[in-house]
Amino acid sequence: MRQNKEISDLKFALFMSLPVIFFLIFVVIYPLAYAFWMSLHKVSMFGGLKFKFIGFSNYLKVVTNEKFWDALFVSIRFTIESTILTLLLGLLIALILSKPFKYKTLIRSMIIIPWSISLYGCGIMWAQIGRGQTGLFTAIYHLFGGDDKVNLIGKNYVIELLALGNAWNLSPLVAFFLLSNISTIPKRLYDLADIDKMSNFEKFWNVTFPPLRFTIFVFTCITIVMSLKLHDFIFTLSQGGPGRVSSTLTYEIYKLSFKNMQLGFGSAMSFYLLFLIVGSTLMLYWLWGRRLEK
Amino acid sequence: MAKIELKNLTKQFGDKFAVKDQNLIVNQGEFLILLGPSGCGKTTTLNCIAGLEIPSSGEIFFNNNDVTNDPPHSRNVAMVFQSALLYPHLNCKQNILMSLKKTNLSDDQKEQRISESASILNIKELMHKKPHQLSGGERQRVATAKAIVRQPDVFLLDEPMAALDAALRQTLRSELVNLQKKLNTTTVFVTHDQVEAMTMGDRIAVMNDGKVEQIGTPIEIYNKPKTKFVAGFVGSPPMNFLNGKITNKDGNYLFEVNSTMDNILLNKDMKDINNYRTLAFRPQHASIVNDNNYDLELKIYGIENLGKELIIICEYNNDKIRIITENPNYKINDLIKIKINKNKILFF
Amino acid sequence: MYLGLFVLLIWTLTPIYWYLKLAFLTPNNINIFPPVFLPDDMHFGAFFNIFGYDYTTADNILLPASGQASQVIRGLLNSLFVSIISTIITMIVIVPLAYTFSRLTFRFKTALLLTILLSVALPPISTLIPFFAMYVKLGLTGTKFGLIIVTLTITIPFVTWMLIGYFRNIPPIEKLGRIDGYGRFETFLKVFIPVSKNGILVAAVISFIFSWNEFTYASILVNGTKAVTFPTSISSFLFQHPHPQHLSASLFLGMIPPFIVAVFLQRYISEMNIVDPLR
Repeated sequence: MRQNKEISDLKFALFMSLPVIFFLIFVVIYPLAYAFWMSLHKVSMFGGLKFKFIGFSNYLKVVTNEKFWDALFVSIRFTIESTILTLLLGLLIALILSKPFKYKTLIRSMIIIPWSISLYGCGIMWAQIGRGQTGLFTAIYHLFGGDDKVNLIGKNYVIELLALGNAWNLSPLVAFFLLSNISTIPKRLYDLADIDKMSNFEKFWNVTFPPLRFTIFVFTCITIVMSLKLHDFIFTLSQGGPGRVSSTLTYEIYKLSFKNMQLGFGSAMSFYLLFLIVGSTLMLYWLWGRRLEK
Repeated sequence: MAKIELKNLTKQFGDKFAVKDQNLIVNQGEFLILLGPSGCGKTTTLNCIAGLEIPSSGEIFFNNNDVTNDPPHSRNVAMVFQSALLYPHLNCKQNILMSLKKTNLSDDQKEQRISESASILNIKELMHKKPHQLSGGERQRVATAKAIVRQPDVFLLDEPMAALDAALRQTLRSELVNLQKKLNTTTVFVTHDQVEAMTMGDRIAVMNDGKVEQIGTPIEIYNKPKTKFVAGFVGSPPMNFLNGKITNKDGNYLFEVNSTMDNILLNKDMKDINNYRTLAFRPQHASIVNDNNYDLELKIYGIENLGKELIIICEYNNDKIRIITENPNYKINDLIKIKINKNKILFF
Repeated sequence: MYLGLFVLLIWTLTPIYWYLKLAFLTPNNINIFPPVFLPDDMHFGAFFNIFGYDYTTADNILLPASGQASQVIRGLLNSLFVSIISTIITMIVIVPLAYTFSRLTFRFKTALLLTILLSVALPPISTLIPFFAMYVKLGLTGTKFGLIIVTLTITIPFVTWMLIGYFRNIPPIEKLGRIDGYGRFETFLKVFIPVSKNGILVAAVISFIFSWNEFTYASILVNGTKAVTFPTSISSFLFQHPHPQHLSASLFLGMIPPFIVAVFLQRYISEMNIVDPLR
């Protein structure tokens, strides 16, 4: 028998990805485990890192901390608003772009720009737009004869401003994926809808929307995850302020860990955040995704 | 040229058997068809012959050499895949050349071979096109050229024409058989289309559920199907089946059809009395009669006019019975009486 | 219809315009209240300033060079270096990985795929804490090497996910390659990669943008050190030296590479199917 034997799928898969999996363990699993280990300690930075084992009391400290609950509420509010805005905007952009028009490539290229802008850049831009002194909304208000400042970075609307900026950044990507879905809908279906005398809205609801549902579900999950883990955008837009009004969980973790240097406490809180992210996507999958998969 | 022999070939995916304990011999220069419904294990069998999959157990011999664990290339097989798969980023010539990359031929010899196979398949003017610029038939020819250019010992085809329209298939069928006879290469052709199988193969192996149910020439398979599955799968329009049991009344053998009062008088002595059996007959082996010497009275459900003849579809006992006739004067819902040719019936 | 398109373009472009116009203004004009839509006397002064050159406007106003110029230039070079190296490493790592997940069947595949999805969902701020502690111990803070490693935790999972979706839609040419005599690894290298080069290129570019735009890690790990990256170097304009025109001009520069990429790649983006791997 010849020696030149072929290797099986599993062996080949191992051969191909074992180095990679080691690498992933090194950059993902190990840090995660290390973070968990840290969360069980009181970490002090003075005179080098020192760890003191304190069990789960960091976790207990988090849930009894008022700031955690405030930040949790801010995160949830920001995430819900971002998700709704992003998906609606994405759908709207996709519907507009799905119609035939001139200079399509040029216009599509312009629409995708916000997605390419870095999140810290978006934060800086939207801070300028929202601020009363320099803001776009002040300028518009003055255009219509007002003479006051319209400051959105105040305690009433700052979260909405954050959500709007976030949606501005994310929605083009959503739109492009929805658009590629829409382009696979057979034109004949619209003819059929015409024969059935459907109104424009009925056409949207019965013809355009059903094939988009899975993509919409996936992007709902993606937007939720992206919004919950968002940090740099909030950091450059509002620094969690004014006060702690827009301080999300990520920002609170940042402050605890890198301003107050409470690394153990910070990692404990970051695990709550991770649970929130995983939990909310799993819940969405249970409630919605499972039914779409068939 | 090679003789292929499969011994107790088994391929499992998890707990599922794709091919189970299969024995098969393909003779030198033979055109063998593996026919069966999707999921019956025919493609897996072919992949094992090609060396694309390693069997869970059993052996494969080419000319009595064990090749079970050899990689595809050292078996010197050529294969055409479903919908005539080609490398999308290469033009036709480069695609064909890829078959020769791992051979020891000189560049001149390669050129020579490529132009030979291109002229055999009449694709010389397509050589600089990319696969996505080709029509279905052209792709098929290029894929075939790519396969024959290596002058393989074994030529394997996996439903290559499945995506083509009926007229094109008909042309390509005879082209392919003609080519195979010219080159005299041992060929295994997988299909689920029984017309393809009947018209192309020297022999047909009908597969079901990971096993060969019957192997034989098209005529044998058609006239003497060994199992009910083979009988139902081969032939168009399909064979008619009646479920019931054989009884002996006053020396006459009768077939009592289940849940009806109908009896069919048999003309032979039967052994298998009182057991439930299936009586099968082909649509052309029953005729419509006007006298009282009939077997069944049926109501017409549908009529398919094929021009030279008509297929009368009748509803009977929650099943359909098809009869071929040349008389065009029937209408849906008419009652007809039929007489079955008892010399042609089969029991399963 | 065209009205919708018009509104859409306004919505997309106004925020960019509103901010970037600052880059073309003199400090006096920036703080004019109320803010105006179309300011006059715009010029390119700030772009000279951030690279360390003085600029005199048409009205003979001297705009002095920015004190941060050296940081900005260093940041640009560092960002370029970090982005290119992390993109190369990312690609070497993910192409085989995505191939394995999209084209092969093996046990534990679903579980491993979920691990990748989980790492996409990891918040950078959570990953940062252990990395920060480890780097302090190992002395890796303020090094480009350290930054490249953490950047990989962002690029690898996400781009792998994208490529899995893309690879799945490629016809089963491996079978063809193996019949033609290529071994499994050779088929992957010489047949599969050439076929999917477009998708791999898009993935590389996206991973470049991701590292180019990375801010959170850099702001903690390399800010104020020799390894400062472009985003962090310009953030010092934000908090330390309030020269909005310089910040704006720098931001504008930073936007150019991803912008060019986005414009050229927009028709390929939806081919990187990030929805498919979930089905």
